[in-house]
Amino acid sequence: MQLDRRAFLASLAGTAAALVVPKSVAAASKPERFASARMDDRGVYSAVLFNLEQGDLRAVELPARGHDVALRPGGSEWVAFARRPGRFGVAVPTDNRQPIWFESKPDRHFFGHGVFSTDGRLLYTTENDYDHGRGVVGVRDATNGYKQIGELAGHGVGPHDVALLSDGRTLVIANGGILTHPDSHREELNLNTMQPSLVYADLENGDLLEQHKLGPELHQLSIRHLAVAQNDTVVFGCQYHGPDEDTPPLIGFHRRGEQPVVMQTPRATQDALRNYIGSVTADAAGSIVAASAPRGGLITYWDVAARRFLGTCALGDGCGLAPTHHSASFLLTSGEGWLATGEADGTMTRQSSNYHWDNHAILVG
Amino acid sequence: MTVLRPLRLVLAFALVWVAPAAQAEADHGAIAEAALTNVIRPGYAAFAGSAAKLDGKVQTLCDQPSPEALDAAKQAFAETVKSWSRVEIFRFGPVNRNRRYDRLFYWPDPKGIGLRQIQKALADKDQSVTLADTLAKKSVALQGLPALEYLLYGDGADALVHGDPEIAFRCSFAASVATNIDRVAQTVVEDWREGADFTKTFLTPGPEDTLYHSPKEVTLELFKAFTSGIELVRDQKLGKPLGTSPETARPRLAAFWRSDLTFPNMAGNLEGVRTLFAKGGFADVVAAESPGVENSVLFDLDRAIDVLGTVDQPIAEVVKDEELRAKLEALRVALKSARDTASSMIARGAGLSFGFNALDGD
Repeated sequence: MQLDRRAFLASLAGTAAALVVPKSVAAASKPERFASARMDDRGVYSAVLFNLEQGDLRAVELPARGHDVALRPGGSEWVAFARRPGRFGVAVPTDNRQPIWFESKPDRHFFGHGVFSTDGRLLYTTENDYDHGRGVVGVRDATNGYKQIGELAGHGVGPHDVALLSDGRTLVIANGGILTHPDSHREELNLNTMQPSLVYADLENGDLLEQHKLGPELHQLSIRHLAVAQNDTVVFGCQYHGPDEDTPPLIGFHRRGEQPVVMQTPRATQDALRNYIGSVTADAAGSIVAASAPRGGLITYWDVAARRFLGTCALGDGCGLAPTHHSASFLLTSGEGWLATGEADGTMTRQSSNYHWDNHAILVG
Repeated sequence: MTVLRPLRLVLAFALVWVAPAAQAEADHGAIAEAALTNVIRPGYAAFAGSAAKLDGKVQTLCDQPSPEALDAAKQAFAETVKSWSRVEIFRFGPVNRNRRYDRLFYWPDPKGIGLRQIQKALADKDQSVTLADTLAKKSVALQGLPALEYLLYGDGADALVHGDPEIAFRCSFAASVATNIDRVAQTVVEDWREGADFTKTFLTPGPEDTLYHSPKEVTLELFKAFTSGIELVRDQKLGKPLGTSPETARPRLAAFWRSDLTFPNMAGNLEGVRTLFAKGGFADVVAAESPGVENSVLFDLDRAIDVLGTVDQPIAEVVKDEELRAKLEALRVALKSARDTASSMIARGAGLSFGFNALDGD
């Protein structure tokens, strides 16, 4: 039997009670550890491993703003990436070992996302080959100081989020389609001609397996974030770069061999999302997906099998999402400092913290 | 009692002439002091006062059960919920220590965990819940206002007017919950007193403090209480129970539906938000940004408080009443606009970084 986290918390009023909890139960119900990047009010950036009971477990100061975090399978390390157009990455061990820093090649920068191979040996990162205006996927050896050992084609412009399908050898890449160059900082250089895509590529040789583009009327709908849910259903979240008065669908579903389907929410919600999804995450069971809309201050929930919108919950500047150990339950983080536990029925409990939590969060275990 | 120093707020429009690019900032120390003296301390003092009365009334009910004694206990419970509602929006400070917030108000509880635990304690006649000392070490869901609400209003509570031994256990449980609420409330008041550790950090934060490093961070904390207080009412308290239609409504997600205090609770939350805005310094920040806008924010809040105050049906009926639903939906829209207007002006006027993720573009 798996104990519900809140049920367990509810059974704990203090350490005195904690002492009488049988060891096995205590171990199974330890508060989840999460990792995320953040900024404090002095403008200091860090990446941190934390739980909702004790707060920080291990924080590492970052030289600049971070973005996503990736967990190395086996749970020995988690890696924080620089936000684009940054060049640093850092692997932080969950034990006391020193963090391992690494960088992109001189003519590349990170986009802020990455994923490990199933065996935890190789790290794949989305990067910008900006002088040639193409996206690439860097390959690094996690067993050898994260030294770069190769590079795969990204099959598009502006690869952003990346994940691995359950076969362990298919990468799925969200190609945002937006051309940027570090010399013009974060300026978007091709909004009139942008063509985002959802790409599946072979992990070993980088071969293109499948590529999907949305219809011409949606060519300014940048596919930016994704999550792999049950049955390898890829749920992707978009940001619209066309006229504000358009309110195109922002969440899409896709399985290999099918056509991607983008889904509207009810009118009032669709307007409130402000054409911007910041993060997408599947729950522990892979059957519910949460997608955040920080501009709208809303978290949306989706039923993966039914491909159905479930509802929302309001969280100002809410963006980071992570699964918890329990189905239909998520960690929600916000740039305004909130750490919350949200259920797919829209209920939420929140606590205050003194950090601006960045776009993404992960469950470490 | 502290003598109030007048708020010293730099007027943005006065500076524009000389330094258009300079960010005029509010006096953060003055905001913290105004919020503490005018809002936080009086709010918790009122809550602790009503909790002490409640403790006495529930004890009287157990000692001399009667319909009048049960009514008096319920009356005191309603007063305590109302005073709690005004400070419920503060999720920081002493109430955030040692799980005090959850011990006072374990909510929402969509899976009914608290209810199951209460029913189990009643069925098992678990003696440890009848003494405040031992109750304090039990589940937080057994210790606070929702637990006491069930004991006073839930199934079987009517029997509290008799003194038979079967119901005496329930009454002792209720009395220890009331004592626990009273004790936690007094501790929170104590920890906010002048010279207390938390008060010092709150009023004069320094780089070496762990909680707040600078006065601006305290302003941010208060700002969060303001914006999240409105979000709490429009989304969690109203939106979730209402659902999108009478068919999808979930009235039992509402807070305090058993005692019919759902609407007074929401009105109290907004009174807390209003007081923080009007007396905690934010209205002045908004006035300095754009004179007159502070009044429109207050107007929206007052109207919402009025509307919520006039609802006299149980939430289960309200969610089926199309006319009322429309009224409450309109109120949710007005609350959102008040929140958005005020928050962007406060953020600008107080120099708070805002839209960390929203404006990020990633």
